[in-house]
Amino acid sequence: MKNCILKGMCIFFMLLSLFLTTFTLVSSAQSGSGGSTQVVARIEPETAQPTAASAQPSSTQSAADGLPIRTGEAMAWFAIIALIVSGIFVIVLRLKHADPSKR
Amino acid sequence: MKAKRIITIALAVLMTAMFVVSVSAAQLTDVDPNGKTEVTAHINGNEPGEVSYIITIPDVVDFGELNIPPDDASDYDKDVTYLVEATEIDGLDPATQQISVYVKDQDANVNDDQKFYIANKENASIKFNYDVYRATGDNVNLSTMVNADNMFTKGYFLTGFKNEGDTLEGTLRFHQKQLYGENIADIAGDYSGYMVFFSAIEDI
Repeated sequence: MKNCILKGMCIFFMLLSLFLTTFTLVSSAQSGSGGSTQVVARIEPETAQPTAASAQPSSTQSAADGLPIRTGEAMAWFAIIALIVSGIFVIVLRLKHADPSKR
Repeated sequence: MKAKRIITIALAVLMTAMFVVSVSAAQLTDVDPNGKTEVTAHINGNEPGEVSYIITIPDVVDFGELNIPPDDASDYDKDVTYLVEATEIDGLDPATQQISVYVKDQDANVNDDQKFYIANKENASIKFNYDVYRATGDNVNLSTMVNADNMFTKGYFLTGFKNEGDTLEGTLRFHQKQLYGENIADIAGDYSGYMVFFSAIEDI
């Protein structure tokens, strides 16, 4: 019974990995010819009035400045990877603690 | 039996590793320390020398803090730069072809409102527009204003890339004058909008 469950889990993770690998490759190839850039700003409540000096165009801020942006989609992929790796570790640990008499 | 078990696990780990590599290769936005979004397109053709390219656009452009000006005598412009780059071009004949890049607001319509907007995240009805330029510094003027041109279904024409490594550094300009007279309590908050880019191989 235990062996059947372990085999089933191994086969499941193998098929899942194969599916996700194929899906990722296909998605990359069909990523299309478009994309979007988010433009953000903030208005603080009770802000002080700008002085006359700020009437001139302010110093530019490069879009290259700043930390890498991790999208929600990327975090979902990381979660899936972590789940799969955890599953593999569980299988290995269960095998290590398997009943020696049945080996 | 034990050997079969080990082989099964090894195959599962191998498949998972292949998946991890594939996902990592696709997540180019996370690897790039500048936080850029890669716009990837592949034109599949049966003829040899098919064209492929990668255009890099920024993930986020931040105007920072906007302020209500003391008067409406000046525009009180606030500028921020952005960079679009032809990261990779392969198989393109620069004498007869280019990678055309178009841009528009996510909600823009060629038959309706065509402006670029950022909207209050709490109340989307509160929104303000900004202008897009294909130049920086002293070259920011009406002749380099992207949204001063005609808009197509794909958007405003931004630039055409012919060679790998070509870049366009442009400017987004927010006229703080449009905040003049507004109630700070009504408009305070975070604002967000999206510029949608579209690229295509076009004959020149």
